[in-house]
Amino acid sequence: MNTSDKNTIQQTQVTTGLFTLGQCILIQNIAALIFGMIIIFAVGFMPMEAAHNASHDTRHVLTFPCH
Amino acid sequence: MIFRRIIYTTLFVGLLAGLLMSVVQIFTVNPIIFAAEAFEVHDHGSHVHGEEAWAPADGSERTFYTVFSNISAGIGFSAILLALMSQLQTSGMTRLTIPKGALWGLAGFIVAFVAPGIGMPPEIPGIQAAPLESRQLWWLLAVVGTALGIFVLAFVRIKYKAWGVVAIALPFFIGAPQHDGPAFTHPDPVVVASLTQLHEQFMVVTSLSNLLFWLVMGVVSAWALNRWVLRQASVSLTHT
Repeated sequence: MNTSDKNTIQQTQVTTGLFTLGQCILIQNIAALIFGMIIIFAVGFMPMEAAHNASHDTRHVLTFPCH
Repeated sequence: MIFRRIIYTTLFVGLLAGLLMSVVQIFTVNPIIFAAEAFEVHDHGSHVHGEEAWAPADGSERTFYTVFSNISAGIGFSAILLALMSQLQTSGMTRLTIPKGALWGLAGFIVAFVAPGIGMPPEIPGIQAAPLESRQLWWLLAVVGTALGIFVLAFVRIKYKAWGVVAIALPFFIGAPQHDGPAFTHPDPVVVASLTQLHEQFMVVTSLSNLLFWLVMGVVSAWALNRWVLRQASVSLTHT
């Protein structure tokens, strides 16, 4: 499993199943980023009239284009 | 699970930042919105609907939805902030502190408020503006361009830094969609004068509200990141 025995200073790769720990963290951070973008879309951009009316004053204060 | 911890943290950060901004907004921004709405001529050319869509009733119901939306925006923005902070810290590109969190907040304020606001100043109800879709598209362009630009300026090697300036400048070269003609079409010049004055006040109070919103999100996110989100992961990954 461990292939980096030539270079002992290099940090050992922690593997969790398919991915290295670094990849695993990257995937989770990207998921959190997408989660945030979806919420911002819902609050600031969703064209549905009722959604616009509910978040109307928030859209104005945060300068999302409105009306 | 970093994802789960980020989501939990955004609930806390979003609640805090959203509530704080709501307090400021209710006392400074909303009175201006309501005053501008009182002048609105109810003849929206673009708003033609078969039936009137649902809207919260003025008063406490409307305030409730505004507070809810502010908290949601806080959750959304802080999720983006925490995802980026977490990625840069675990890959060893930065080490967050409280002052650096304030800088991240300031960057967020510039990205999400100042940059789109330079092209398209904050709008009060009743103001005339270019078509909605083109403004939304330009908003996105300005935000993404400025975010990429600040990232390059702050974290990428010096010989590539000029590209950061290019990314920030590009949306402004393309140009924000502008409305031709007067900002307010109310027939009474006295009303137009008061709307113009309201609009100037609106830009000041929204700037302050957004600055507070982003500084709180930046500082609290940085604090929570070190305190909880990356508490174990940072042990194995910060040294590169």
